[in-house]
Formats: sequence, structure tokens, C-alpha cells
Amino acid sequence: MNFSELEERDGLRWSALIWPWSRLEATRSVIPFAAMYTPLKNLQNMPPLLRYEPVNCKTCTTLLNPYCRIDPNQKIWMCPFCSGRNPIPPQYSEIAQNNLPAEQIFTTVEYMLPRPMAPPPAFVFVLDTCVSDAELRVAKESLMKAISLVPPETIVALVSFGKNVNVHVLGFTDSVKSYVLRGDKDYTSQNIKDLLNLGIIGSQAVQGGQSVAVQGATRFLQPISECEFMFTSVLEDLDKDPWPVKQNQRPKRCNYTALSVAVALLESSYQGYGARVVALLGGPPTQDPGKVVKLELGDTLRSHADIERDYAPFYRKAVKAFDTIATRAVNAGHTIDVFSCSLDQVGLYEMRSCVDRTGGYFVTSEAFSHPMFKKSFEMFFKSNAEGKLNMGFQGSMEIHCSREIKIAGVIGPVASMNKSGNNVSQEVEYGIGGTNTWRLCSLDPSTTLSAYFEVVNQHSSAFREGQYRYVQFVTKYQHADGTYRCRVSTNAGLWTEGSNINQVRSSIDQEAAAVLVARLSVWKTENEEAFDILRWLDRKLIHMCSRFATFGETKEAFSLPVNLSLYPQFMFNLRRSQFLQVFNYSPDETAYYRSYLNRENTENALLMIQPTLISYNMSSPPAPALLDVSSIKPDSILLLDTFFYVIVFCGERIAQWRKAGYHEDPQYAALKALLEAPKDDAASIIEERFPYSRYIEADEKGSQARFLLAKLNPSISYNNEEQVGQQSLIYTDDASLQVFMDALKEQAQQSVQNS
Amino acid sequence: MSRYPDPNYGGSIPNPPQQGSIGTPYGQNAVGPDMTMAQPPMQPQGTSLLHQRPLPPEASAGLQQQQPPMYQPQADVNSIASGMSNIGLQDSSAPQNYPAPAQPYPAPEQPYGASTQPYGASTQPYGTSTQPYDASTQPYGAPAQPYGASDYGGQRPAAYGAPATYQQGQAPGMPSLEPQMYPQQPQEPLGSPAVGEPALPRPTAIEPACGSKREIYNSVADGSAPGVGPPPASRNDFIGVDTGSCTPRFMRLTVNSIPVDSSMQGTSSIPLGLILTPFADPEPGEAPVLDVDLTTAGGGGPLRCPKCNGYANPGFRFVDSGNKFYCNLCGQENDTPSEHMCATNPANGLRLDIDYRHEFRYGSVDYIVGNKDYFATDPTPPHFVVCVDVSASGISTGLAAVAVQSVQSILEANALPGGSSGAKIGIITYDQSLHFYDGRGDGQARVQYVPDTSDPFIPIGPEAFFQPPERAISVIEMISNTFSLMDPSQLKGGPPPSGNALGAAVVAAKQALSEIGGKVFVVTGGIPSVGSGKLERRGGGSVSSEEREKALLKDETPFYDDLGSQMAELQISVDMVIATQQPYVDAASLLRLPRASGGRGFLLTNFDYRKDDVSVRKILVNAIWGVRALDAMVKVRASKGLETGEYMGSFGRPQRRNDVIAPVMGVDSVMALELKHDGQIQTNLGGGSMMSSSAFANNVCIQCAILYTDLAGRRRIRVHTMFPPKTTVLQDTFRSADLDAVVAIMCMRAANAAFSGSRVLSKVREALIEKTAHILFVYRKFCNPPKSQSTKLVLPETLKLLPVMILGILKSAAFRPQPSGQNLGVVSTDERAAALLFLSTARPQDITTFAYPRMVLLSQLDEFAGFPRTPQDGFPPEGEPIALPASVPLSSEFLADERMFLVDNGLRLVLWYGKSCSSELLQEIFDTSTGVYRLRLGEGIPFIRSKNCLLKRFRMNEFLLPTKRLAAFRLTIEGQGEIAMRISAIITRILESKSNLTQVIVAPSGSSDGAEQNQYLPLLIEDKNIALAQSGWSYKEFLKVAHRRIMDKMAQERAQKDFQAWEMLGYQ
Repeated sequence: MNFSELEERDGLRWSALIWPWSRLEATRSVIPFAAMYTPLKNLQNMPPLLRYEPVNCKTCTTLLNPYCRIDPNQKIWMCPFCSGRNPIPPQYSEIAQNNLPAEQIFTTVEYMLPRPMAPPPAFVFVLDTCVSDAELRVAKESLMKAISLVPPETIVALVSFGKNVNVHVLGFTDSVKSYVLRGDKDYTSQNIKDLLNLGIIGSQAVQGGQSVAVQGATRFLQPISECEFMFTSVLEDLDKDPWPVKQNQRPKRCNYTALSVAVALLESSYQGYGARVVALLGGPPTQDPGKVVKLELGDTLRSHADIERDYAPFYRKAVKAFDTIATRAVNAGHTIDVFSCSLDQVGLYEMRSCVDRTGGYFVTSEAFSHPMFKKSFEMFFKSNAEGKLNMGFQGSMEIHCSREIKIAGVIGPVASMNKSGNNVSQEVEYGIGGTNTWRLCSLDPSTTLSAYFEVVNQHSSAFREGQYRYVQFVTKYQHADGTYRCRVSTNAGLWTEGSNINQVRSSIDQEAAAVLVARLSVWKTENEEAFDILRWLDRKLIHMCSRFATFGETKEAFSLPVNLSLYPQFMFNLRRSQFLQVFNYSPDETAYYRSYLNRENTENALLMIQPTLISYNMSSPPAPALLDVSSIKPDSILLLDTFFYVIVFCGERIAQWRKAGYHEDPQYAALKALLEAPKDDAASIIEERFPYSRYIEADEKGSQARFLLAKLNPSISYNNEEQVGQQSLIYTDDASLQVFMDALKEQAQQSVQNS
Repeated sequence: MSRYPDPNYGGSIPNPPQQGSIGTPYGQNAVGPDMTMAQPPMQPQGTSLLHQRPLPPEASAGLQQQQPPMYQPQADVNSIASGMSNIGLQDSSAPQNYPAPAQPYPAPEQPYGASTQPYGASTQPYGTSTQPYDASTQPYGAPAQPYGASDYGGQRPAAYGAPATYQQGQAPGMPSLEPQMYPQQPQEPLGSPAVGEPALPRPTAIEPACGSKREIYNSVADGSAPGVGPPPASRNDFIGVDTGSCTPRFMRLTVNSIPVDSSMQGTSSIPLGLILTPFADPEPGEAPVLDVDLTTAGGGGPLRCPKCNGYANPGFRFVDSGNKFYCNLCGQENDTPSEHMCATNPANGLRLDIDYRHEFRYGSVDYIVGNKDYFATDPTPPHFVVCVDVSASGISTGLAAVAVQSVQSILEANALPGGSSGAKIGIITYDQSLHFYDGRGDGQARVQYVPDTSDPFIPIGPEAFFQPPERAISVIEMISNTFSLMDPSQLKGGPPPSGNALGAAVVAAKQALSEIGGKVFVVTGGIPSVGSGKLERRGGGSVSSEEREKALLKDETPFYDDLGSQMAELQISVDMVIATQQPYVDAASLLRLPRASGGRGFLLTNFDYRKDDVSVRKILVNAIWGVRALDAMVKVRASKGLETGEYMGSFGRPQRRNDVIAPVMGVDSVMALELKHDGQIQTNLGGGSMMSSSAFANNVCIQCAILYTDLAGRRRIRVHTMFPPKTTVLQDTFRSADLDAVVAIMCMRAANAAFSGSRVLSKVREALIEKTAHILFVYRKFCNPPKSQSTKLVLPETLKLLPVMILGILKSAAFRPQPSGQNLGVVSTDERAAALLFLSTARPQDITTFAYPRMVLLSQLDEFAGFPRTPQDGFPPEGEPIALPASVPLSSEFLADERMFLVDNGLRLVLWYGKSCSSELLQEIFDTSTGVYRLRLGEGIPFIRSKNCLLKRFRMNEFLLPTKRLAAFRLTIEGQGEIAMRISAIITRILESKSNLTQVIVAPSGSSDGAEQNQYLPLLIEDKNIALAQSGWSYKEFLKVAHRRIMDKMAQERAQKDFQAWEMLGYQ
């Protein structure tokens, strides 16, 4: 079965297409029964927009789909989910087997709902002014660039902060004016609304004697076409935070209050419409609430170890504080994006709920002047071919499923809408569960959710061959062009008798399964106290192998089917990845990486787990290489893509040639071509990617080489250095893939024997 | 050299007064066209007021220059009578009973108290008259009410059979103990200048003659015992010369002979205390306080006594060839530190460097110190914060526009104190939120709104907030534009918000200045209604009872009091201008802020931009311009046996027992404190007697030291030292009593009690009356004349004006009782609070003017009035102040249809004219061409309100900045008619001399807007005012009340004695 075909059709990737019928058997299959779903995936074969309201089942509200049986004679249709009978509405009176509407043909369709247009999207920029003058200048330039990129009807507001929060007035004023709120005060949302007078402040008479309510918030929120001049002059006048910073101290920063104010600004005036808070942070909050570190530079930012051992005095409080902001943003359906540009951590870990639950983006870089920030920021505001922003707003996704299964939860940049139903599992919860509808404050074509299900059929219940299970994803959202859309993907899958392992085994999508497990393990490690995630992963892997592998007398006889052969390696790399290994990573980095793992599609997520390595050399065309230290060859160039960064790595000899300048000699044009090929490929990778990947050029044994080595299988480490002589090696105590596989085989075999 | 260089004076140049020229009755020397004064029968006014002249030299022989005459002692009877008021018991049938004036001036050699010869004897016993006094219908001519007839005459005719007598004293400076008694005589036919009854004592009596030379007052006369009598009255012009003791410009004692111990002080009953105005500007002709720069000489501190920390003063006595010195405060013998070592002249015991060391020669010196002992923190140039109300109450009334323009004009005139040495100013505007202006950068200032007024803060750093004057100007321009101050109708975004966050603005100002200290000026147009310090409208309307009023005078919330105290601790002082159209702003609560922080408060009710903009300007400009000292700490030390008691006046809070934090002091800053005995006063302590300094060493020493930062950011210590003699003779205390200081201390104490809400006003009034009576009783009892005179009211010479001053205070807005059921004379709680605050922070001259306003006749100017005074020999004529006309008693009896009067009570200046006032005069001084009354003052300075007038911006810089004012005056009086020019000069002089005095209110007789009723008539304090119930006493009635109390006390004492004597019999 071609998994990507399904993905191209519906944006869906299931961990396995065919699934055991009973709960017991399903559990024994170890791999979670789940799907990766990309609601806004650009699908080539999707029919044009359906400009009418969808028809839904009266009983279960499922929308009309190709799996519905139509009885044109009786003018009814049967819902495959609940077997309910619904009358065919009058507008479908012409329906017939040879005259079907698009939703009856295509498993994924998108409706454009006939509703009044939503107002243009709003962006509240939150700018940190506690940075150096040069940095601030660059940040301001980026902001200017951003407003030149977005469609002119877009609404913008500017909040700058340092010790205090400034909300800049963009409308109804000649002078450069701002409202200031205390940075160290925990204002309630209502406080902020009152203080900024965000309610209706009066009425303005317009021609014809009618009066139009003037929203207090319109002083701050103005379309770019109206306020571009003001916005520019405000930015020009914006200086570094004027409060003196004592030596050996950090500046006083109030990230929390700034975000809180920005969210309040939107809450009061843009509730229910698409809007994003775009925060540009230059450092960690040092003021309560939300403080993550003391003012004194001597106090270093918390590490994972500190948090684990409870040595991070501000951690819990800060998390709690930022969680309240996240909740408010989710309730209003607004998104928070954080661009952090600081060498040190800025407290992303504490504010991760703000971004992750609202569907926002984390972008981190060392400085505002770093291309990581500048390029990402530009890409973020790029419009698509229609001149609209490449994002949707105020989304919600509802899952319908047939009776044999229940929804266990969703992992992704979503928040629960707490809508219970009888298709919601009461027993297991993977990720955000307890609901059948989730809010996606914003979503874009790459936003991918993983939905986990539970099979609830009892082992004893009768199984009929050829029975299908149905799952329907209904995603409603506000398109950037102001229209309301509803995308519906309906998927049917075969059930199988529990004992028929082969059928299940052959339908497993190991890539999707790996990502689904990875997301689940990250979720568990974040949300379950004292959870030993590696042991859990190992156990799952062993169980999986003992279930699906074939065993012989010897270890070598152990084999996995083709479509599962890479799975152990994925797990091996996942174990070593930054998602689960926090050693050497700061909490901020962890939050950043995990955020992308939880939102990218299967391919990208897999890339994060197991990077791709391409080898270039003179003698052969570029070819994928083993993600192994042994791939490092003196006369080849490696291109490593880990999603977050892209490394071009020159082997020792090539580096020497390059340093000697041979490539500039026309005689050695081939060398030149060889040197350029990976760079061009890297550039084309980076071009497409959001966030902008860090690009690293490294030479063998050079200092930058560590980025590559960290990702390679340490098949040669100093433990076995003697055997390899001049070969590159990795100084690590980590087990190599070989060791891991050996152990796995052993354990799996034991497990089979024990059972 | 002509005194009047301006040829425009033409033929009307008056002759300069000649020494020895004796004044003539007005009619013979009339200069003005107004001849009404020459018609005696119609005019009850004492013509004497207009012809006081310098004494003939022979009359003042031995008295030096110090005696402005009250009457002409050796002159004919007419002139005597002319010195007296016409008010009083009158009996037209018995003019011949007038006795000849008795000897008014004792011969110099005559010992005090020897002469007891009274003026005649009364022929009019109490209770014989049957015709009640009725001032309203028969002001003159009818026999006045006999003394006590209606009150108690019937009950006790025998005891009070004789009429009271008023002592007519002698010139100040040479007081006499002889009570000179005048029988209460019926008046001659009205208007007859020839005959009159003895005058009721009035301030007129202590004024030097109009146009005369200014008195030169040497603080220590000729090396003899300093301070025999009281110094010149503070409201008079004089030149104080520091001859070893500080001049009354800076310090005044209530008594200039200090009772030697507490029992004597207790008997004397005159409060013992002093009034300090340590940063008063010198008048023209006076030397500034001399600097002693210690920063260049190795950075040492001034010479101080190691034991009591007293500062070097002329009383330090050096012995042992200068190696040792005795401190005259504590008597300690000390080694002279090497840096202050100097040999003494064996001939007179003076240091050889006396000519260079000001501190050993003068009573007032200003040290510049570099020694770190005197620095709490590094001194900074002054920092100012101005908080302007731009809410509806500030914008729509035009207040905000005036306020920012005032600040702007100060800045544009380079007149910001310390502006040349780094002074900075920050501006906060506020409505329901606070607005801050970031003036950095080249472009336009940026506004930052702080809407969180319940927890206000400064949103921008100090660098952005405080701006040097030139940047601050652009900030102000930006404020003007932002709020469309010049034309509020153009305001964008709708009408200004109504919320007023005054409290929050001040809190923010406090934060801005918390590390450097400084001065805050707050301008508000209404009651704070949002955020910190929000006040409820708990009052307004009529005040139902005294208890209610007492409660309203208390603060609603301790917020402002606490805030003021906190600010004082941080060396921040607040001045507050409340200019409002709201009927009630709870000034009692608001004004506690300036009060607690050592600032001043101003209240303008019924504020109208069109007429009151000048007032706000003047208040603000003077308040800002007048700042002299920052980060100040005051310490008063006195000779052994005296210690300091309660402090009163404008300062922060006493920090330790005897130190007072005075965050910011200015030219008007006043501090009063009481002195207490803690034992016998000891002087001349230790060491042998020295020849030259004995005058200092034998006397009490009172020293006030103020550690402060000057406008240039230098640390300084100003030291004022006085050397009053001590005395064991009770008479001496009365002989040396200083009326101004006594009244000031009594008023401050009373005002504090009323303002704190601890006493109902009637109790405070009663206490004032009782204290007055008691002082007079003590005088009556212990310094009394022979017993034959015992039933007459005897007033000590120095305090003869005490009753009328107290009466004036009782009738003022501060203490006037609320009338029952009438509108006339109602004092709103706000006005009451403002008046009380004024009294407790005003200079002595302001208090006496407030108590007894100065009323001058404009329709007939005295010969010299409106021209500069005669210069003293050796003084340039340019510095001479304008001579004011002699003042007129404050009685409606003097009002006449032809006349025009100007009354100044220190808070307002009222111009009254009768219905038939000459139209030429009116045209001269009013610009009626535009239908608007506008006094032509200075360069067309429009001063006068009318209902519908719109005032032009007036040029204030020349006008209000004292450095330029005289020059400006001379420039601007050209080209006007002479009378108008002189009147302008008079008004300008009065306006300039008072920082509180801001405008001229025109209250023509019978004016329809009630100006006469409300503004003018209440100032006539000698009138009986029925509306004022208890305090509605006429002057004479009040004297009777006082007299009765004295007599009661006498009788009580006698009865007690009799009783004791009887009891004693039983034991024998």
C-alpha cells in the first residue's frame, strides 16, 4: 500500500491501515492506533471549493461523504457512522449514482461557507526594547519589512516593552503616543481593558446622522493602509528602554505583562476573529509575574537538571503565569508566536503553552541580526499566490468515528474545546483527550495533528469480514481571505480479525508510526511525572518486535518485514534525539524542538528524528549515506539535514583542496562543481523551510563538525578506536546502533519466549 | 539730581518731602482734582491719614530715624485729633472736654514708666447715654453707644463706670510704658479735622509717612545692647543693616528681650518664639547675605563649638591670643582648630582677621562647604516636576493652557532656578491617566500614557523624563498641541476625559524625584476622582454645624498627609494650585499635601480663565522662580536655658527632636517655632569680660542654621544669629514685643489647631480672644498705671494693634463663623481650608495684611504716593520702592460716592469706587474703549476682570521677575496720564510684593455681580457686621469685649485675693 498516496489524497497517514477488530488484539499490536492528519495540506486532487453549506447527519452530525449510501428513490442517505437515515435535502434532488456531488466522490473536500466575511487578520507586534541599539534597529527594520509584506488591509498594533509595557497609539493621533502599563504587575484581563479603555469609548457621527461606535481598541489596532505612516514614525522614535541597567544586572524585562497586554488588546476587540500576537523577545523576563531568572547576571538561567531537582525557584510560578495567558488566547482563538533572539535562554520553556496550545511558532536565534530570525520573520509574513497570508485562523477540528473506536486524544498545536461525546474515550488519553473537538487558533498547510484512537470492541464480539471503520475529520477555519471554510476528510479502513497479524503487519506505516510514537513519548515525558521515557520506548519496541518480527534459532535469523525494517533505527535515533535527551540542551531549546516535532508533518518530523545524510564525491552521483560515522570519508562531502539545521561537511582531503584554492583553478572545475553541489542543495532545502534552518559549513576535524557528529551513529567511538586507525570517530559513551540492535534482538526473542 | 528723571512728569512733579516739613491739612495741599476731601461735613474720614509727614527733627531728637509719627505731639490740637479716628463715642455737645494731648514723648533721659500722665479724663461715664449706637443709619453725629451699655453696663455700672481709655503710644523703637489714655470723647461736628476723639489704634499709626525716607534699621545699634525695642513693622519699608545680628528680614522674635526664666515667661504670657524667613530676598539697598567659601580652603568645615555644634558668630569670644574660644551658646571653652586659628588683637580682643571673616562680624552668613560631613548624597542641581491637569476640569477652564504657558515663559526667560547650572524640569499631565513626555532625541517628544492610576509609576527613565530648559520648551509645545490647549474645541478624539488622577500624578512625581529630591508643582482644576488619592465629594453646599465643619476640615483620607510626609522625607516639596469651577474640591484634604511637604497651597474658586489666568501665572511663576534652597535641614540653637519647642510653618517634618527637614525653601518660606525655657538663661558664660564683644556675649544668642543645596548644586549652610538681651523685668518684654511675630505665632497656632480638626472653630476663636485678653490683662496687672486709671482699657504700646489684628483674623475667611441662614459671608470649607493653610505658612507681613488689610484712597492721592520714596543718603534712587498712600481705616464710614479705594489683604486686591467717582479718573485708569474695564498697567497689562472680557496674553517676564521689575516699571509708566501712572505704580508695587496676591478685582459700589458685597465689604473689618454673628463686632465692640474680659480677670483675681485674705483671717 502506498502511504504517501493516501497522504496526497486526504492529508492522512495512519500508523496502520488495517487494524485488529478487538481491543485486546489492538493492544497487543503495540503500535498506537493513530493517524497523522494535515488539515490544510495542499492536495492536488481536491475538487474546487464547494460554495455551500455541508449536509450533516441528524443523528451524529457527520457530514455527507462518499461512504454514505444514497437511496435516490426514497430520497434518503444512510450515515455510515451511525447508520442513521437522513432525508436528502431539496438542493440534492437531482442526485443519482451517476450524478453525485463532489462530497460524494472525493474523500476530502473543502466547503466555503456562505457567511459574512471575517475582518482581515490582526497582528499585534510585541517588541522587546531591552536590547542593544544595533539589535533594536534590526528588529525595527524587520518589523517594517513585515508590514510591507502583509496585505495592506491587515490590522496591526504595536506593543513595546522593557521595564514597562507600552501600547502605541496608531490611530486618531498626530503625536507619538503610547499607553504604559507597569511591567511588574499582574493585571487581570479586565484591568487591562479598563485601563486602556478598550471598550466602546464613544460614538462618532458619520454622514447621514448615524453614529458609529468607536471602539477604544481602534486607537491601537489599525489597518496598515491607514496607519503605515504612524507605525513607521512610532518605530523610528522607539528607543532602547530608557531605564538604566545596573552593571552585572540584566535589564528589567516584563515579557509576561507584555504578552498579557497584547492578548488583552485582541481579546477585547478581536475575539473570534483571526489574530496573532507576534512577540520579538531579546531576553528572559526578569520581573514578576512570569519571571524566570533574577536580575543579577550571577544567577544563571535554569537548566533541565535544575527543574528536575526543583532548583528553579521561578519555574512553577512562571509556567502557571504563562498558562493563564495561553488559556486566554485559546479562549479568544488567538495565536501567540515567539521569535526569541538572544544568546541566552529567554524562558521559552516556561511559555511553551502559549505557543504550543495556540498553534503559534517558536523561532529562536542568537540575535535579531541573525539570518535565522530575519529570514524566518520574512517567510512568516509571506503571502501566497493570491496575495493572502498563508495561514488560517480560528480553526476547530472535530473528529467523528464509527462506533467500534473512540477518540483517545490529539497531539499537536491545539487546545481542547472540551466537547465530550460518546465517541470520546473514557479510559485512555493520549495527548489532549476528553473531547472530540479541538481548537486550532491558527493553522497552516504544514500543521499536522496526530489523532489517537482506542478500539473498544470486545474480543468476544462477532467479526464480519470486510467490515470498515470510518473516521471523519471536520476542520472549520477562517481563511486568510476572510472566508470561512470547512474541510472534511473522511477515511474508511478495514478491520481485521485479531489473529491475522500478517494483515496488520503489512499495513503498518513505519514512518507515521515512528512519529506518532515520538509525539506520544514527548507528551508523556512532559506531562507524566517521573516517567522513564526511554525504558517505555524500549519496552514498546521490544513488544513490537516480538509481535511482528520473525525469529529463527539464532540472533541473525531475526528479521522484520520491509515496511518495519527501519522502525528500530527510528527508535534508536529518537532515543538519542534532543526531543528526549535533555542533557546538553537547554530547556528553551527543548521547548523549541518539541514544538516543531508536534506540529510538522510526518516527513519533516521524521527528518527531525532521523536526519538525512547525502554523500557527494567525485566518482559517483550524490547518494544517501548511512547516518553513521563511517560515512565520513576524506574525499566526500556530506550534506546533513536535520530540519533545524543543514550542514555541509567537507571531508578532510576536500577541505585541504579547497583551502589550497584548487577549486578556483579552471583545471579543477569538477572540484568546484562538487563543492557547490551540496551547497546548492542545502540552499534549496533552506529556501523552503520554516523556520529558516541554520546553515553550517564544517570541515572534518573542524570545530563545527560537532553538529554533524552529534547526529551520527557512533559506530566508531573511542571505545573501539584502535580498530579503525585514521577513521573519524565520535567521543561518546552512547551505544552504537549495532549494539542497540543486538540487544533488541535478544530482548525481543526473550520476550517471545516468555510469553 | 532729580529724583524724577522723566520729563513727562511735567509740572506735576511734587516736591520731595523736606526734613522738618510739617504736614498740613489735606485741603491746603491738595494735589488731586478730587476736592471732596475738602468738604469736611460729609466725610468722616480721618483727614489725618493724608497728611502724615516726617517728624520734625527736633521732635525725634535722640530717637534716631526710627519713629514714624502717629500724630504730631507738639503740634496743634488739630493735628492731634487728626491722628485719631472718628469712630468712637461721640458727643457733639462737649467738644470742649477734649483735653490737650499729654506729653507724648518722654524726654530721652526720662526713665521708662515714669510718666503716667493720661490724656484728660472722661466726662462720659458708662451707661449714661440712652441712644444706642447704630452705625448703619447714623454712622456719625449721633452719640455712640456708651461703653457696655447694651451688654453689661446695666449690671455693673459701678465697676465700669469710667470709660475705657485707649493708650496712644509712642513711636515704635522707643516704647514707653506710660499708658496714654484718651477719654472717649464725643466727636466734633463731622468732618472737622480740628477736633476728633482719640484714635482707635490702627496700623496707620505705625506707617512711616508717605514718601518719606526709608528707615535704616541697624540690627545692632552702635555696639550697645542690641534690640532694645521691636524692629520696624514687617509691612513697612525699611532697610535692614546687619551690624552683627541678623536683620528682621530673616528672623523676628516675639519679644526682643527674653524673659530670664520660665516663671517669668509664664507670667508674661506673650508667646516666646521666633519667625524665620531665612531665604527672604534683600530689599533694594540691603546687602545680600555674605558668602563664606570654605571649598577653596582645604575643604574644612566652618568653625563650630565641639560641644553644642553651634556655628561661629560674633558672640564667639576668643581668648588666650586666639588659641581658645568660648562658645556663647553653651559656654564651653574650646581650643581653636588650627585652620581657624588667628591671633587676637590685645587691644579689643577681636580676631585680627575680623575684616575677612564674615562669620565673626555679621549676623547672617552663607557658608559654601565642601566637607563631606555636610552631604547626605551628592548635591544635584534642582529638579522640578510640574503636574498639569488636562482633564475636562483643566482643559475647558483654560487652566492647563495658563499653567503650561507659565512654565514656558519661565523657561523662555531663562528664569528657571538653577537653569544655568544644570537644573532640569519634568512635566506630567494627567486626566484619568497620567501622561509622560520623553523629550530625548531630536524629534518630537513622545507621550506615554499611564492609565493605571491606582498604582502609578514613572514609565520612562529619569534621563528621558527630566529635561533641560530648552528641551522642556519643546515638550511644552508638544503638550499644547496634543491637547489643543489654545483651542480645546479642536481636540481630536472627542472631549477630554473627566477623570482627574491628581493623586497618582503626585505619586509618580515622587517616584521621579525619589533619589534626588526637588520641587513639585501641581495644578488641578478639580477634585481627584480616579486612582490613588481619589476623593469623594463629602462636602459642598452649606455647612450645617460646627461639628460638621470640623469634620470637613479634617482630611477624608490620610493619603495626602502621608504622601506629603513621605515626600518630605525624600526631600521633595509640593506646591499646589487649585483653580476650579467646581463648588467643592475638598481642599482640606488636598492642601495637606503641600502642608506636609513644606510647600504652599493656593486655591482659586470660581476660576475663570478670562479673568484669573493672571493669577495662576503669577502664582506659578513666583513659586518656581522663588525656589532658593533644596535638600534643606533646619536647626535652631539657643543659649543655655532655652530650647526649641513646637515648629510651625512651611517645612516637612521634624526629623529628630530639633532638626527639621525643609525639602525646598524659597523666598517666601516661613518657619515659626516656640522657644521654651529649660532653666535660667545663662549668658556671658566663661572667660573674662571682653570689651568689644560684650554686647554679644552678655546677650542671649539664638542661632538658626540651614544646611541646604543651592541652585547651582553647591552645598551651603546659612546661619542667622540674633542677640536679644535677657531681662528680669516684665515691662521689658512688653516694651520689646514685636506685634508681627506675636500675631503670626498666634495665628499659626490657631490655624494649625483648626486645620487639624482637633477643635471646633468657635473654640479656636475663643482661644484667640482669650489669649489676647490675657496678654492685655498681664500688662494691665503688672505694668499697670496708677490705680486711679484702673478701669480704663490700657494697651501696651508695642501691642496696641493686637486687638484689631485679632479681630481682623476672626473676621477673615479663616475663622469667620458661618452665618445662619444667609448667604452673605458664607465661607466654603474649601476657602476655609485654604485660608487656614495660608495663615500657617504666611510671612508676618502677609499675616498682618491679611488681618488688617491695607486700604488706600486712590481718588485723592497723597502728594508723594505713586512715586519712589525719598532716597536715603548714600543710596541710589533707583532702588527706592514706590511710596504707597497712607492707609485708611477699614470702616464703611469712609466710603463715599466720590471716592475710589484700593484694598489689599494679601490674597486679593479690590478696587472700589463710589457711584459718583469722577469719570475722568475712571477713564484714566480703565480702558473702556472695548467695553472692557482694563486697568492700564505696565505695558498694557490687562488686569481687571469684567464679565465678558477676553484678556490678551500679557508680558509677564518684566512684570513678575523681581530682578527686572523696577526697570520695567520705569519703562512702562511713560505715556500715561499722571494719575493713572501713579495708580499703576501703586498697584504694581502691591502686586509684586505679594506672591499670593494676583489680581485686581473691581467692585464698584452697588455692582450687580455682588463683587462689592462679597469681595469688598467683608474686608472692612472695623464695621459691625450683623451677618457675622458673634465675630460681627465692630472694632470698638471688640475692644469692649476685650476690656470686659480683662476686667473680669482683674475682678476675679481681686475676689480671690479678698477671699484668701478672709480665709487667712480664720487662721490667725
